[in-house]
Order: sequence, then structure tokens, then C-alpha cells
Amino acid sequence: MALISCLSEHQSPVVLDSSVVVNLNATGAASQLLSLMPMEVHVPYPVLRELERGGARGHQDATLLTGLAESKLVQIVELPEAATSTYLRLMSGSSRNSLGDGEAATIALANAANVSAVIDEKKARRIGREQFPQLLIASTVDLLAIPEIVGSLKEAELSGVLFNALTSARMQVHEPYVEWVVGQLDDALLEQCTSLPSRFRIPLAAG
Amino acid sequence: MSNSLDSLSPKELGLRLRISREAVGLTQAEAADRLFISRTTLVAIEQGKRTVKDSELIRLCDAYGVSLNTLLRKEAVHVDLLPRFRKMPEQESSGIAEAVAILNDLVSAEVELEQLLGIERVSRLPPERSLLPGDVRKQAEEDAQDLRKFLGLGKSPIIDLFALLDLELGVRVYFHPLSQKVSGLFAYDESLGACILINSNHRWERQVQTGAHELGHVVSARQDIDINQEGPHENSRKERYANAFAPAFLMPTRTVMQKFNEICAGSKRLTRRHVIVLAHYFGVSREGLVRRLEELGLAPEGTWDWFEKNGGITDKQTADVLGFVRGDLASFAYKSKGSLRLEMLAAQALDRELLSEGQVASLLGIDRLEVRELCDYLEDGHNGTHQLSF
Repeated sequence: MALISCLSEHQSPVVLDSSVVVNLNATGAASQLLSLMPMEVHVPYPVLRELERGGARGHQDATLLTGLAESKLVQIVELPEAATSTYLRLMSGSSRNSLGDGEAATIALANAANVSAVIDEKKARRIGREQFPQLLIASTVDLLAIPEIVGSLKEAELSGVLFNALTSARMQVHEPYVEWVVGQLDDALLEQCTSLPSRFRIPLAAG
Repeated sequence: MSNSLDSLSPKELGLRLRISREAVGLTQAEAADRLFISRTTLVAIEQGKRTVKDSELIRLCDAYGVSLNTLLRKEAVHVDLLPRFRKMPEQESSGIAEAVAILNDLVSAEVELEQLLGIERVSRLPPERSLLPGDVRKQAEEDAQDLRKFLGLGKSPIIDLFALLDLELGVRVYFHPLSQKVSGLFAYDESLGACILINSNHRWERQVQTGAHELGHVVSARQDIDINQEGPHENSRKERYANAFAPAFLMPTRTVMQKFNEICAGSKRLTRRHVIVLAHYFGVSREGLVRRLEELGLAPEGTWDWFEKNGGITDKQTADVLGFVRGDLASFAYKSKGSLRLEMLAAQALDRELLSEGQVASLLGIDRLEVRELCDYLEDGHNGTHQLSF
């Protein structure tokens, strides 16, 4: 079954949140995937700082991201003045209605630059849609399903990329895309993908 | 003040900025230098008398290494245990300041999650016992037995001290990697309750000993904080009390005598096998068990020293006798992101979208992958998972 990614034929830059950077790194093929993307990929500085704080626990996402920036596959960007007020507003107020630094920066930057945000995190996607209805919010799966990537990778390679993101990073997959993702993986592999809904991983008991 | 911040009063924001600055050990002058503002301006900001500009706020958070959302989030709890520890000379030792900051952050995180989820933590501590004149060791022994009765433990060994502390007494217990010399910390606050931090780098038996020692402080001298570390020990009455309380609580006198009699019957001397079996029964270290036997006159003084001089009692010997070595197993605490309860609360907050991944990561001081692990085993309703009604 084919998936129409909301980023198909998308030429303007996209802004990635920490949740997406972590997923891309987990694929083990971030450089290859980013080199196939036709659009510029931006990551706001607060995302890098957030990943650096997490790096104290041993995971290497900040280092990997820095490497991708040095290879000019992504651009790490400061928030422009036009985005500052939105950025701070998204982090203020009640916990229920506020976001972490990286999530807020991604939405604020994308909104100010009139480009798309790529965020997997559920709450950030919800708040982004509620407060910025005109903003296109894509997901990691949207990135992986663009024609330039699907057309370039062999079936086994795409399956491997998705499997790695699902198992190493517990990538979230949002409802319209679950069946497509599941369709790329063997049953034996699906069992290990604990971030997928259980109905795809655990057969219903007989009777 | 920017409109973006008008849910937080200048005074509250200033207080949070001050706590964040002190947590990283910066003076006002040092922080002002980094921000290219005058010290008086920073003082005014911290006192809520001067509005902080958006750009200054971003630079302040960068300088302090704190998340802006943590600072600005209305319900963020900013516990300030630091001043109490600052009064103790030990806090200048390496590792202590870091441990205090960790305890501070973990307590703040748990309290915030409780408030967000609408959960009240129930403390079931018995009334504090004051230290009376006379032999503190005898008081400790008696208080330890009284606490065991209060908890309905009878004469049985304690299977999981930390579950007891957390689930029975309502003590906040956390595990976190600390400097090797620091075993643990204890602090008590009327609104927060009793809070204990244990070094997750230590072996399980040492963690239990530390936990029981801190429990001694919970029972008596509750209002005084405690720093448990290697090195010359403080010889105060409250420390001698806690040092006596721990073995008495874990290894009640009559039970030790009874088990010693059963296990060692027919032997003329105390063997490694006896020590291994008894230590396993009580869930304590081999050394802790032997020292308790010495204390109770069941083994001559110097018995442990003899074992140490003659090859010790090794993990391999323990594994041979028992079939496994408990201390070799990575205790749940070692992998925990603070405490089991904290993890559960965070998972619930994520599931209910009260907090985002980024917020939980900065709240618990963990990375995104660890946050996602918290969501393992959250049932999604497949196969008729039972709904709970409260």
C-alpha cells in the first residue's frame, strides 16, 4: 500500500524537533536519508541544547546531529527575533498547555519562517495544530515516505530503516500511517516494535 | 514584562531565577558578568523589582543550563533544599553539592507530577522519637523494634527495604549515580515529607545499609539533614543512633540469635557458609552480618577482620553456596530514572499528554530515549485491558 506523505513534492525547508532527530539517528542511515531529501532541513539551536543535556546520560544524539550539520546535511539555526515571543509563550503558562524548549522552538521557528514543522511528539503536535492551524506539522514517517526516499531505497533497506527507528528509538507512528509502516515489516519484526499499537503486535486470543 | 510571560509574577520568576543560579553555584556578580548586565540589575530581577527582557531570560537560562520551560511553566515546583545542606561543613566535599542538587531536582519533579496528576502523597511516618539522655545504641535498638511492630514486620527479614520505605511509610526514595564516596542523603520538610537519595552506583547490600541508616534519621532527629559518605565519621549522638538503628532494624536481636542457633548448630566455628546463608536470609552484606554477630556476642570481636585478612568472603564463594550473587545483579535502582514511583507518575503524565517528551526529559534529567522507555507497558486497550475507575 502506498503512502502519500504530506511532504511529497515539498520544496521549502522543514524544521525538525528533537523527537525527529532522535528517530533519524536511530535509523542508522541519517546521512543517507538526509542526502536524499530535496528540501533544506533546519534544526533550531534549543533542540541541539536539549539533546546535549540528554547526552550526559550516554546517548549520542547531539554529537550525531553536530556531525550532520558539519556535513551540511542539516542547518542548526538560531531563532530569529520574530520567533522569540512565540517561543517564550509556548513555554509559559500551565504545564498542560506548554511545551519543552525544543518543541516550542521548532513550532516558533517554523511559524515565523512560514515553513513546515516535523514533530512526532503527541502533545506538541496537538498544541501546534490548535494554536497554529495554518502550520503544516509533519512526522518522521512523512519524511521517510517521500518519493525521493521510497524510490531510492530497496524494500529491505526501507524496512530496516523503519525497524531501527521503531526499536532503537521507539518511534511514534500516528494513526493514518500505522498500516503503511506495518506493511513494510515482517510479522516477526513487528513483535519487537513496542511503540506500535498492540493490535498489530499481539494476535487476539482465540475464542 | 513580555506578554509571553504574564502568567508568572515577576517575583515568582525572580525567585526561580535565583534558585537556578544558586543550583549551579554562581554568585550574582558572576552571573551578571556572563550576561553583560550589572549586579544591581540582576539583584532587581531576582527580587522581582525589574522586568526581565525576553533576550535576557534566554541568556540567563543558557548561562544556568536550565530549560526555559522548567523556569516558566506555572506548575513547575522549585524545591529549595540547598540552604539546609549549605550549613554543613561536609557539603564542601566533592560530590555532595552535586548530590544535593540531584535530590532537589528529583523531589521537585515528583511533587510537580503529583500536583499535575492530582495525587496526594500520603506520609505514614510514626511520631518522631527524640534522643534521650543515656545510651543511644540501646534507644536505637528499642526504637528499631518498635518500628518493626508498627509496620507489622514481626521477626521476619525485610524483603525490600525501599518498597517498605516508599509504600508503607510514604518516604520519597530515589536512586541516582553519585560520586563513589557518597552513600546517600536525607532531608525532611513538613510539606515534602522525608526524602532519601541513595547512590545507585553502590552494591545492593550497601544501598540497603544506607537506606536503613537514613531510616534511623527519619525516626529520630528528623529535622536534621544527613549526608552519608565515606571518610571520618561524625561521632554525634544522632549519628551513633542511626548507625545502631540500621542493623537493629534489619537484623532484630532475637531473630539473629534464633537463626544463628539454627544455621550454626553442630559447628564449632563460624564458617563462610554460615555467614553467606545468614546474610542472604537477612538481605544484608556479609560484613554487616558478621559485625552484627560480633555486636550480639555471637562471634568474637575481630571476626570480620579475620575474614578480611584471610581472603574475605567473595562473590564467587557466595554464588557457589547460594547459586547466585544478589549484589552482582544490576538492582532495579541502578537502571531507574529516579525511583519506580517517579517513573510511573511520569509515564501517566505522558500518556495523558499533561507533559510532553521534552518536558519529562528535562524534569527527570533524562534523555528522549529514556523518556520513551517509560511508556513501555502502557496498555492501549487491546484485548480488553481493564479500565480503572476511581
